[in-house]
Amino acid sequence: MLRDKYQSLIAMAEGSGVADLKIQEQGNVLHIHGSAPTEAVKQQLWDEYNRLDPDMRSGDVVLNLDVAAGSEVFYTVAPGDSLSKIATKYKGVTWQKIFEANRDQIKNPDLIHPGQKLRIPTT
Amino acid sequence: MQDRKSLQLIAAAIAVCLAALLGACQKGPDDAALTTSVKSQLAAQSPALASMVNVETKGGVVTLTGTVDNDSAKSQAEQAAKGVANVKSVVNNLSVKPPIVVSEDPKIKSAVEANLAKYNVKGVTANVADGQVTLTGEIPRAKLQDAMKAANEASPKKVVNQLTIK
Repeated sequence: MLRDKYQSLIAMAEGSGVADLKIQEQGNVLHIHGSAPTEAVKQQLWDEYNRLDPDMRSGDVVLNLDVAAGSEVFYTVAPGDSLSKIATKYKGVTWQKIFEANRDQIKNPDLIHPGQKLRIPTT
Repeated sequence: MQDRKSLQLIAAAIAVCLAALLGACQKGPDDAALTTSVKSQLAAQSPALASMVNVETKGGVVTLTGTVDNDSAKSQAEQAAKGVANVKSVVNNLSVKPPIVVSEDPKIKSAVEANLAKYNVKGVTANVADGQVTLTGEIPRAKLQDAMKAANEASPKKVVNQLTIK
């Protein structure tokens, strides 16, 4: 069974909080589908797959992971940034949303400081 | 007289044999031991399969329950159990997961192309046929994962990597 070959990858997926995790062998392909809690978890799983199959030529895995909506992404403010400028870097994010998500550290939306770590509410 | 004596002897021998046989039958094969043997037979074939199958034995009849990935895993488990000595019969109550949904070819193709753009992968061509994505082209090793992510995340049946890795 492919589950045996990719046992470490499966164990990692099961142990890292991947939501809606589906693992199934179908037509001699091991499907691993789900929603990773963060980009880092997704990358960790890809690295494990890559470790088991360095050139990724076996053609026996479909690793179909997205990153869970609403997962936390952080942005570190650079000199010259404004909330609206930062918002343009993320799809579907407005400066108002960033402001709302960072009320604890932003009192005035026109006043942010280089080095500040802002929560970006990606959806 | 001689004949009669030997007949008696044979009869006695048969009686002893029958008694031994009956004794064995009454005692029966040890169900717990059979369960253990079936489990280890499954594990020998595939630890993953063994972990998905529950085994119960009653009077030498083995019942398999649980959920496995596909029909071939279901019959593999049954065959493994049947191959264990002293198993009278196998009741295969394993259920099979519903199949993974694979996208239609045009949908897969457009998704792979959109993903290649998203991951900023250049020089890769994706051909899609019968749910299978075949990647060709030339790519630096650093972009291999991104190219594979682009294909894998299009919900295909299979991904064949024929990329030349520089």
